[in-house]
Amino acid sequence: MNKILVIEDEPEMRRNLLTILRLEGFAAFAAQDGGVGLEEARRIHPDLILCDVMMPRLDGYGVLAGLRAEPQTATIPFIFLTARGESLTSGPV
Amino acid sequence: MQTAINRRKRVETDLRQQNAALEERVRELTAELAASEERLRTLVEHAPEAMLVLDAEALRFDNCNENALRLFGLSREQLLQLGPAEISPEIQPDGRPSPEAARGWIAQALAGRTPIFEWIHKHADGRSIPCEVRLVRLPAEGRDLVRASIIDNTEHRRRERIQQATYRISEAVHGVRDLQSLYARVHEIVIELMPARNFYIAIHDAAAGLVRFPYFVDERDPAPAPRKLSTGLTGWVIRTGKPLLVNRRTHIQKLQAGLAVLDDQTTYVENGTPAAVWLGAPLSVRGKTMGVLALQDYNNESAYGEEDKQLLTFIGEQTGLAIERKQAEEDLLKTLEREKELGRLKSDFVSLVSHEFRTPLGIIMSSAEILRDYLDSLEPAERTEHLDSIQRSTRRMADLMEEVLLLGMFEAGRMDFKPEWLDLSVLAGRIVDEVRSATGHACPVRLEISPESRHARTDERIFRHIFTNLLSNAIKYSEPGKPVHFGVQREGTQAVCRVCDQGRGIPPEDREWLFRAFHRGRNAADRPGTGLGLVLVKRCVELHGGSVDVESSLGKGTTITVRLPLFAASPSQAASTEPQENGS
Repeated sequence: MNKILVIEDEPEMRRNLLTILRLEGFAAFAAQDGGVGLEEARRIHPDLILCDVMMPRLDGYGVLAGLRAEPQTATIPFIFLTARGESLTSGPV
Repeated sequence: MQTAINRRKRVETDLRQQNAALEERVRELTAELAASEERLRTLVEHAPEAMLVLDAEALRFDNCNENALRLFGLSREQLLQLGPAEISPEIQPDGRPSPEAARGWIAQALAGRTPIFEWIHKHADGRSIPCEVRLVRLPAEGRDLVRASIIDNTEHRRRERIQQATYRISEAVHGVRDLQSLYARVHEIVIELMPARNFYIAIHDAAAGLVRFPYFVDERDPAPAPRKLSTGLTGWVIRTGKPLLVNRRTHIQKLQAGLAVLDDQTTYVENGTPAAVWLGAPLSVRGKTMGVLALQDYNNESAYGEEDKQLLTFIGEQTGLAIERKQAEEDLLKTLEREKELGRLKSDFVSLVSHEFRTPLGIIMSSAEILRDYLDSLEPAERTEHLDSIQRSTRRMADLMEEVLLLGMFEAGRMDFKPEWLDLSVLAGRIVDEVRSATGHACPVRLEISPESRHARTDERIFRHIFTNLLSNAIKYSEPGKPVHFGVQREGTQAVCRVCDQGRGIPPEDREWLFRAFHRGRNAADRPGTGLGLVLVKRCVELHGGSVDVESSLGKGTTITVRLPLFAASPSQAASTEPQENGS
């Protein structure tokens, strides 16, 4: 079963994402902030990471940099989650 | 024999005639010489420069013209007792002692050269006279005579110095970073022109009615605090727009003789220690006096003279212009900076607001999607959970919208403040009831209003907003059942309102951000909130002319103290201004 890690600080949003993923037949894992997200990524080595951009302390960009810095996690496909309509081009990608 | 006698007589006659002719010739020559001497004397006497003849052996002056007497301020008898060293300062600007330097130049003249050089002379009153001197040896039998022709360069030098100072001050406007550096630069320029160990700049802020001392260098006193236009010397210069040179001794003498230089209202002492001599010039722009440049010396009462006064007056004019320009430049920069800051705040705010709206919007959309697509796979409890989520998020968006609109009204200055006399205990009681029912009676709230605080004058809407927010917060961040205390006490015209909880407290590192839009304590994430509540509380308190303080201890609780001017100055005044109660 494909493993997907969701990194999202908003509890209800996190719950909804996990619900949808599980109902679609994925093994979904959750992390409530960037730091925990990095640890979980190393531990469970997911097939895909969905990560919120705006989070307190370590944000989405920080998580991505952390993943890319380690060979073990550098190649995991990574999708930024933003609220609908938000333009990503304005951020430092 | 007879012929011999006749011949002798003839010879005698001839001789007499020749003698007479010779005497005539001598008379003619003498007259011619006298005329020539007279011509020479007139030439020397009316030469534009000062001329002196020096006996180089005795090193004493042998002769001089009227201009020389005028230049040195001496009588002919006095001057002809002296030599070059005695009408010069001890040292020349190149560092050589005057007697030694003078001997060198005189030796050159005696050797047949005609040296031309700059020299500092000394007037009888002690002031220096910058001069140009030309020496030439005079033909004289058995004596070493040297003629000195001296041109007074004082006026020329003065113009040069003024020109240089003007140039340097206008250059300084562009070369310095801010007004403070400009003041320091002006001081440096003044130092090169006259003694300026004690130097200050006073600026008259007419709008505030204050004189400020933005630059003050003094060996005796510290910089004075801004103060009202004084009756001292600085005040005199500001009021009259005229330069002033006074010294303590002559001021007292003239005062005793009833010949005061200053008007009766002016005291000699400007500030702290009285100076031996005080020199001040107006800083003026287009005829308006904006301040004073002042110099003082505590010991040497002749440190400054009329020439320094003229020079400082000129520097004052230039400095006034320079300050005006620098001020305009600084104002422009400040305005630009403020504009930028406002623009930044606005775009920060917009991005924060949109993020705050997106989060509940995202929850509503995803919960709705789950209910639509997976309704059959969901447990009844899960369905309820998603419906609750939608409802909560919708309310959160509505609250946020309300608060953003309110904040917008504050920003636009459109918040009204309409205070009325009312019974504070009734209003506070209603607020407590409302908050308790909105929070599902999670925590007991004890309301305590001192009797003398009951009759208060406040805008009900503003008061309600402040304490609804604070009480909701207190309950939101307390464990259910923990008591919350809401007390109001009177201190003079102030109501001291305290909202006290035994909740989780605010982390110290979040306290300075407490009143920033959308900043929430790091331990508040599990409770819904917009991050605007306290911002609005602060705005409301400010609108009410009050203040707000926060005391908090992590894990023990938080006390928020709001001080509001709710009462009249005295009970009698309260009675007279308080309208009849309508019994509500």
